[in-house]
Amino acid sequence: MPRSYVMLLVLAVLLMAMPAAAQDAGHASKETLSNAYTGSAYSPYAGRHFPERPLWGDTHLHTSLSMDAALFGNRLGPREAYRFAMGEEVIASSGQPVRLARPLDWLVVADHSDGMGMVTDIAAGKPDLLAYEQAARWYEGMSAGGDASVAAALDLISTFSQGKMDPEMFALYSPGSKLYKNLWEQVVADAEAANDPGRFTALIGFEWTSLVEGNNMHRVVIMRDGPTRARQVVPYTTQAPVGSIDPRDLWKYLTNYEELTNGDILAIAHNGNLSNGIMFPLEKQWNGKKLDDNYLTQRNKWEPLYEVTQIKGDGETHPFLSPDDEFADYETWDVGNLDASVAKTDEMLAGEYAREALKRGLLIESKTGTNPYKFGLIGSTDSHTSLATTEEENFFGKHSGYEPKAGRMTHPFMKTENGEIIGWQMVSSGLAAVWATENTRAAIFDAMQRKEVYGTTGPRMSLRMFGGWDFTEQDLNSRIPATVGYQKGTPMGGDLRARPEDAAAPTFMVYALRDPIGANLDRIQIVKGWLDADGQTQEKVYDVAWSGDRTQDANGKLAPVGNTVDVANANWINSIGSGDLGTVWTDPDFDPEQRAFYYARVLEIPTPRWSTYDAFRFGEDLPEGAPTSTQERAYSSPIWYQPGS
Amino acid sequence: MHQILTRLLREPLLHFFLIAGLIYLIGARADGPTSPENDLIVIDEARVVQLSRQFNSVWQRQPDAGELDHLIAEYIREEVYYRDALALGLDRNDAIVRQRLRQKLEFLSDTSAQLLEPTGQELQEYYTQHSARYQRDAKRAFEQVYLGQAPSSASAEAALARLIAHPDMDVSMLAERTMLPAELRLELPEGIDSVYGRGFFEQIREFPVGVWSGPVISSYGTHLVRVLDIQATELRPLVEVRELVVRDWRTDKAIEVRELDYQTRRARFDVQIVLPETAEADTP
Repeated sequence: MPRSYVMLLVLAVLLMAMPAAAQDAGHASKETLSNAYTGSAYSPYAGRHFPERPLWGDTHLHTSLSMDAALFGNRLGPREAYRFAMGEEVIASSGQPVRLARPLDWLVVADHSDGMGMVTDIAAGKPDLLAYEQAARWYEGMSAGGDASVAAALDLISTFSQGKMDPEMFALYSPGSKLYKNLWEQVVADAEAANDPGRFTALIGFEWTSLVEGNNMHRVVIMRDGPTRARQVVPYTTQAPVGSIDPRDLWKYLTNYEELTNGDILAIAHNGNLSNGIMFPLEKQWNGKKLDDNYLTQRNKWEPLYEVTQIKGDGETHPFLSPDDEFADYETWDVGNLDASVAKTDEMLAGEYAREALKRGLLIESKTGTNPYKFGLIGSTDSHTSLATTEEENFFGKHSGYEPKAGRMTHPFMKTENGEIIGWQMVSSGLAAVWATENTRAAIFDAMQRKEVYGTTGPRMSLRMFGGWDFTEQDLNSRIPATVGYQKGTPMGGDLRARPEDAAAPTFMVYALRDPIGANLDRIQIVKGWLDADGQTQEKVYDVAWSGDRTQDANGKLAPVGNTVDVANANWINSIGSGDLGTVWTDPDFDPEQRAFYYARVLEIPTPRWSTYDAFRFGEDLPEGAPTSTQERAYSSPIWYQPGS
Repeated sequence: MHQILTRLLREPLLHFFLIAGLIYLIGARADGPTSPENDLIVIDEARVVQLSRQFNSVWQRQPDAGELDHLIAEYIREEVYYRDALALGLDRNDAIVRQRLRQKLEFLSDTSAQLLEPTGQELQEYYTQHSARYQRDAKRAFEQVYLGQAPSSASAEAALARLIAHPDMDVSMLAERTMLPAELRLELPEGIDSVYGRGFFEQIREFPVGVWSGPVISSYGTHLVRVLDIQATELRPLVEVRELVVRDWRTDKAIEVRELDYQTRRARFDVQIVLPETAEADTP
């Protein structure tokens, strides 16, 4: 019986138990109540309130309102971003027409809150701004073109990152100014105009761009609410006097938002891989202070999700952290921090990747009772082009300077004495899939809040996972497995229900279906992390379902699925792999005394990477080091087990 | 050498240049000596900025010094030709120039139409008049039986016949295993296609409610489908589609404004249509 029914029953019983409660419906008797709760319904959809299909979106898209996006030549604002996401053709900033193969179901335009809108106004020579020497100088430089305009852009970036912006001018584009408030109102109005409940949802949000000496602590902030509540605040920034780079101050802002507006809000961190170890601390916060109870509970409360994959690298795990995971080294960015001003060391890695953070969460919880890193997983683009492109054959780059053109693969993306990231290393990733009951702000937000979401590196494979104590093959083969899934267990993002005494180990019903216009599936894996008897965190990756008649060798290793990619012609065929995969898996190494989490990873068969398409279309050689094909993947949110629960 | 010369003399381009030169000589004489301002071509900073912008919009980068020199030289060349052509009146009776100038004025009127804001009443009327545009597609709920990737048409027909004969039978007896949803609640066409693949909805669009139909081809294989419910199209409320209605209203308004603009201009001219007698007799 679904939980909501039980709740209803309890509620009904409570109501009946109050004789004074004046009800018009008449006296309740066993007969009338049993009429009301007949059990099975005639209508096939009655009682089925669970989500039937994943809704696809991007939580993290920048438009020309973001300072850096505009500096790199993005001329498309939020309106164009929504139109593009809805499947319309737009002209990219580089002048090329572009369109998605399929529309998205929802989008969060998440522009950087610091200086939002300023660069577009400088470039346009807005009169209010030209009174300031810096603005006038940059405007002149940008208008002059050539090296002068590049110099102006670079000067603007370094002036900002060194905190040397004219405070009075920057204040215009900061909380407290009328201009900033008006700009935010426009952002909200654009979202409202694009929002079409049932068909396309525009969630209102922004990015809080905290950087500690180049170490990335960015968070995207998303609201559940519409304009009435969103207009009561302006975005939170990192620059003094109003803003702060401390996540604790962001959490205060979020608390304040909910108190002030009676609304709902959450934050999603990303790019721990560029944080040089400070994204998921084990003991000390970024400023050296100990992790205290307040930090743990606030982080747990406000950050239910983590953006595990995006253009600037995949953040599930690192080969150093997961040496036994043959698929760990996927689109890894480990040169240094966000601006590569400090090189990466091995010690930093544990504080940077999602799998390790989930493990650290168990450890911290065992000591303090609170798991600060109890998050679900999504992917998003972090694209700065206003174009949420994640398809390998339709990749428009990190920012407008890397929109499709000959030579973009070999152009250095970032280069310091610590190393470099070359254009081809940009990742055409990722997307967020949300198991929401309907396509509205409220339903999507609620699914995020309960972590019934997953991330992919771009393709739209559908992935379901339920954890329980008594799932059987028969449940999976039933006509609508999700019905049984919700009845007998917990969907992705939840906690396993209390262990029945006779249950030896948890069972997981997991199944996946390839993208309707995409590649077949290679395998489903379950990634388990746990805290062993010695208080050490452990991890293991299990292959649980795979295509074809491959068998595991003595070490449990499965042969590769094969590769159909024709590199020279950037082509592939679905002659290997499977259209869908599913299984009921029982943890063979379960110890009821040890806390654990389980999430699913689904691998596609190899398909051409975006760089392979570029090489084919521009007639270029593939850059050295660029993989010819990629095994795209989906990461489910975990299901957690707690001893004694 | 002689041959080349003959060929050259036959070249239409050469004739053109010769005639152009002649016209120029006559024209220059007729207009008298050109004033010093007309002989002055100034390349200032604003011009350089404009040239680099144009370059940038094509090449997505700023021109380097050499390229900029070239851009400036080309600009001067164009300016010289442009001024002399105007002086000679070569813009007159040129179909392309005429068309372009007309476009420019029409563009001005179109731009002014984009600034118009409809009153509440105007918008309401427009919305009512064009309500067909603001309909939401019908939603459908259905169940499906998956027959595999490529079942023979005979076996698909047989399965369909069985389902039609026994509508209450346990359909899982016929279904191949699939992770596709067996049923969908009321869903829009794009939602249906998002699950089963593009084109699926088109195939089930005409299916009646309550009857097993098919076969239908999805991205995954062949299916039989029974539509369970169709929710009729609905008119989206004005508040929801306001932005869209305003956009459409403006587009229609622009056509109106353009016509009005033309009629106003037209009114200033006295147009005489002079036709031969016979033709005139035919005009109504």
